[in-house]
Amino acid sequence: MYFDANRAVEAAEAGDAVILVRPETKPDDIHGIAASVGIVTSRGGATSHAAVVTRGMGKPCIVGCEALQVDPDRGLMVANGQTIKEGAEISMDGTSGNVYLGYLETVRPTLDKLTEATDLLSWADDTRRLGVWANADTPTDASQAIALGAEGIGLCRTEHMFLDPQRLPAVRRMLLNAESAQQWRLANPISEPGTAEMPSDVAEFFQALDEVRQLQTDDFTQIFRVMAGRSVIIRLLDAPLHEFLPPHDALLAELAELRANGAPRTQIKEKEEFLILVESLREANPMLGHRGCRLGLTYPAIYEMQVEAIIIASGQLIKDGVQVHPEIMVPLTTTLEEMRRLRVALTGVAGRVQQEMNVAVPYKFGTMIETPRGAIVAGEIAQESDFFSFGTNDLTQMAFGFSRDDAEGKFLRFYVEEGILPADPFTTIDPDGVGALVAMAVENGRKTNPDLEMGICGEHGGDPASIAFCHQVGLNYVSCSPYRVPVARLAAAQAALRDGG
Amino acid sequence: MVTGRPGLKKPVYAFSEGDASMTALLGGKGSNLCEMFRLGLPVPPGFVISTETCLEYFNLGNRFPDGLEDNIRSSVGQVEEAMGRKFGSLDRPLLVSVRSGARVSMPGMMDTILNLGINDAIAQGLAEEMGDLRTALDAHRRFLQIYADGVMEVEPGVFEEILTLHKARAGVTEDHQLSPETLHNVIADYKSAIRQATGTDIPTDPWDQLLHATEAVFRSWNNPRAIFYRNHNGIDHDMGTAVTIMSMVFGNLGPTSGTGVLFTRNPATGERKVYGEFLPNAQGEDVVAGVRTPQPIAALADVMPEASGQLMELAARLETHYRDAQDIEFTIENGRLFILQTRNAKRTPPAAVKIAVDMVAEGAISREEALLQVNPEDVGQLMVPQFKADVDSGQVRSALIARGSGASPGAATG
Repeated sequence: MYFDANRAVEAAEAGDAVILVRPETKPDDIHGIAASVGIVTSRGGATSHAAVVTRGMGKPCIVGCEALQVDPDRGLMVANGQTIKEGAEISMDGTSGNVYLGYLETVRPTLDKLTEATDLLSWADDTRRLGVWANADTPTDASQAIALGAEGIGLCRTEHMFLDPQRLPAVRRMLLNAESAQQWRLANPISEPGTAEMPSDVAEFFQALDEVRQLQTDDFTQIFRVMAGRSVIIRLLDAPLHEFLPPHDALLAELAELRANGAPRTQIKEKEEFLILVESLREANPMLGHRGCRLGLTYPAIYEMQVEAIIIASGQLIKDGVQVHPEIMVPLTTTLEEMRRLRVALTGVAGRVQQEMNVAVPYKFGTMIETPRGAIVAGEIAQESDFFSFGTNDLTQMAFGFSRDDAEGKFLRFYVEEGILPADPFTTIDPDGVGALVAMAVENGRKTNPDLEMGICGEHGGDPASIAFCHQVGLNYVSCSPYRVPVARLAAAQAALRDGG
Repeated sequence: MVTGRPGLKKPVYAFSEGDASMTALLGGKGSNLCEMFRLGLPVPPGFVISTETCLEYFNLGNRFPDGLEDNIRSSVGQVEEAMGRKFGSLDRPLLVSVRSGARVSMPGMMDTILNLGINDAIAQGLAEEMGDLRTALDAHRRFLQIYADGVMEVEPGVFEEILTLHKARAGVTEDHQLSPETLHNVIADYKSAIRQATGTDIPTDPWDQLLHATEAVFRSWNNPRAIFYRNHNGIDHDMGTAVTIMSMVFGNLGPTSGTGVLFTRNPATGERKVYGEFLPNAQGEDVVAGVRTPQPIAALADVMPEASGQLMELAARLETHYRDAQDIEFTIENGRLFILQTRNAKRTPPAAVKIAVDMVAEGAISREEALLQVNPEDVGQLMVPQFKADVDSGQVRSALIARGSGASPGAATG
């Protein structure tokens, strides 16, 4: 809680959730209001400045709270006989008007209690042409998405499943030994893992792979069960391997400590070997490095394992009488040849598993379009794809040549404030550049494959202006975070109405 | 460069010459006043300088386009005729307000100058007409303060200090309790404060005041807080502002005068029940500034039943006409109702959804209109956080330190 707009902004920039408390707000306080999660004023009515501005921003606000004697200059307020200093924690309810001392946990409501919104959104569903799907990585996200009206999962990232701390050891053993295993595989093309003589690191790889396959099968089973026959697009491993390993500097520090403490030689040696592996995976520019389908092609066992897990989970559910509709998505495709090779290899795996299980799984095989080259040659890539999903976060980074973290922290705000860019292109899709790439890929993709299913899974999928764009270029669906699903349903309906229904 | 372009639209529009479709040219406020005039509502007479003229002013390096001044003078002449008053005259003087208004509503972000056209002698003339020296001096005091802030960029805190000091000396708490003698002193102190801050005086010639104020409103389009607001809300910076100049009406002439704001539906909940507040014996800025705590609109029927009845009837008409809930600013001068402004009411997200769905159920709008009326972000805002703990539990209740009016919903902690 702060009594001054500038101090509220400072605290918010330091990462605190801030409530701004003022005798009354003036237009000059606007930056402080923008930085705060809630506003309380001791004076004023329902049409005062604070009330009008916060309503527009959708922030909680309480006005006319005359029991608070606020003294911004001394940095304190007196309430209910208590003196409360600036920086203390308070809680507020903009619906009841109550102010509480201390921290109260907040939760979000569910849609089924909101009957008017349910009515409005059902009219929206009757009106829109775009499908609304959600990005969901866990069964919890998936059931939340369905409750909010999602019709499918447009992006299920497998990385998050890998990052679970309990799973990380197995994932690390798999990734660290992937290179050795691949070398062994190339040297012993006909040996089955476990049957021939193999070095211990290779054996470790295949053992870890088995563990991870089992974990992924369980994950997919749960999500498919929740989605009950709705489409689920599963993206194969995309992230560069180093994201799953401890930071290089942390390892260096640990090693130094071991040496200084005179740890056993074997322990030091083990750490040194680990460090060498981590160093071999370091990249100058990971976003443009060894990730996405590049990993899938260089270490085929990982994607094969993931496809096996998808088909095993689907096949078992089908046998249990549960409908499933998995879609296997290759990330970061930039050439037809990448897609062709992966399709041959992975549909081969999927076919083998179905045969072994004696079950037919109706699945689709497609790709993300998230690099400028991928968008330009989308007409070719469509030969080997049942669907495209536009990853417009990466597409925006690469089309602009912006690294998002650097751009947003350094110059993007300036660009938007000065009108050099009309809007933040990571919030609202840039129609002239990034959008033109999407439009071209849609047109050429459909020319090659008229049944090609196309959607968007970047954060733009939940932005109303970007949704209008997706409608205009003729995408089949947008996919956004579960809480944006109601927003997207209404925005898609408005896009259809403004387009003449 | 816009100057001299063939087919250039008129720089100035009387309220009778515009309508609601002209928001790009006349701003939201200006086009609305024109529309209300056409609907036969009691709008104080006035005219609008177009956004195009504002952009041309910027193009010319902050200089009035040729002919604008003459246009303003002749338009003021028409207002004089409609009100039976004269701008700059000591006898039945006309005072005007000068208001900003862009195509998109930006509440409180740009300048509004009230009571313009007053000086010491005119205040005296006004006092004779009103039979009330205090009210006339108070109008002069308010003008000095708002003009110095808006046009001359004098830090407004200094005026609050002077006023507080004089109130303390006089032993009163409310502005309207100040005696004429005290107000004379306040005005003198205001003038020296302005001279000290700027090295000059506020012009005493009403025409100078009007032209300078018009320029200041143009320039306020580019003040830092307006730019910040536009950035924050994704509003285009190239639209410019229109300037609405209209006759002042007085809500502070005594117990049968007042000013207020009325929402045709509750802007917090969406409930179909007139909602709003008014301040008896006050001018509009008292309500907006939140300095005095106003009375609920229902109380108006007790004090001024006739004006209240007329207001309710007009409110219903405006909502039907605009096919959306309205936010209406009104002033009552000696029992006579004036509507100053109406616009689609800003509302909380739950209210937005309820109003749209209710209006469909009432047969007032179609489903398609309802879908277009609600901002998609509002539906997201319905999922605003609430407290996890039971707020009626003893533990939570014991932490309660104060209670105010909920103005925008959702729970927060920080």
